[in-house]
Amino acid sequence: MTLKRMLAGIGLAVSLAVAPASAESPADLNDLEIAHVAYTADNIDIRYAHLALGISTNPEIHKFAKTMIRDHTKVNELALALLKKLKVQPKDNFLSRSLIKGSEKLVDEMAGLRGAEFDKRYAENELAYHQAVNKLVEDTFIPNIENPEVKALFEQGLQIFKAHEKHAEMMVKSLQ
Amino acid sequence: MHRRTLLKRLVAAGAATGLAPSSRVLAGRAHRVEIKAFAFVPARLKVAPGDEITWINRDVVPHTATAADESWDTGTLDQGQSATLTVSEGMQVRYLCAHHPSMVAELVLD
Repeated sequence: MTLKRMLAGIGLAVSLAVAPASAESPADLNDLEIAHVAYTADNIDIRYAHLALGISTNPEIHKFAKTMIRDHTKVNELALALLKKLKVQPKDNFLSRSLIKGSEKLVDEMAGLRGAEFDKRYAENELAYHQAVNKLVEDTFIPNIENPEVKALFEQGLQIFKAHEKHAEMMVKSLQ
Repeated sequence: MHRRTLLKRLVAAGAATGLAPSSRVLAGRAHRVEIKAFAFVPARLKVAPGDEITWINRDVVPHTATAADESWDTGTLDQGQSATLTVSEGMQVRYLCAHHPSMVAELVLD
């Protein structure tokens, strides 16, 4: 599955056109913009997790959601500490805005669900979300990051998020 | 009482439990399992009753070493933290990280 289709699957309307000079592409983001995307993606998943804790009564969903909050909060702490050390600020960009817009729609959708329907939707979205973000990080961000410390942090983050992807996969299977 | 606290207190006090023999006739070997890059290293560890296993977390996120049937548990270990368990006869040998269940490992009891 292409990255564009994956991102479309999680509610993002992102143009990944490469040819026109005015088109916005994740491949064109600089380190500070990439850092902003990562911070935004972490916060979105934390938000989904809080929604799950509020709506779901499934203990496995709760365990997963608590891990998302724990781990994504830790990654954000490390990212902010690194940016502080480098004396830079993350920079807002088209991709962060698209992620936020897409997540608003999903929160509205999931907030209207209950019971098994919510659990299934949450689990499926977590799998799709982690698959899409992991592919973006591995194939586009990491190869393009210039600062070695930022690159190392993203490589560490990718390891964490791949474990989340596996956990989400197990969760989806258990709910079938 | 949290399981982690119970485990640590029991190991520290040498109390008789299902996890540790009430009187240790022979001192066992000491083993170390590193939790790093989302894996238990080594993933298969040969042990004998009376041995001690110490898990140490090298990752930035918290992990646990939890028996597959939840009969023993190190509790949550932050980066740099460790917990020690004494091996007993018949204990559950398959274990995983409770926070990241794709991380699995096993003990091989002599």
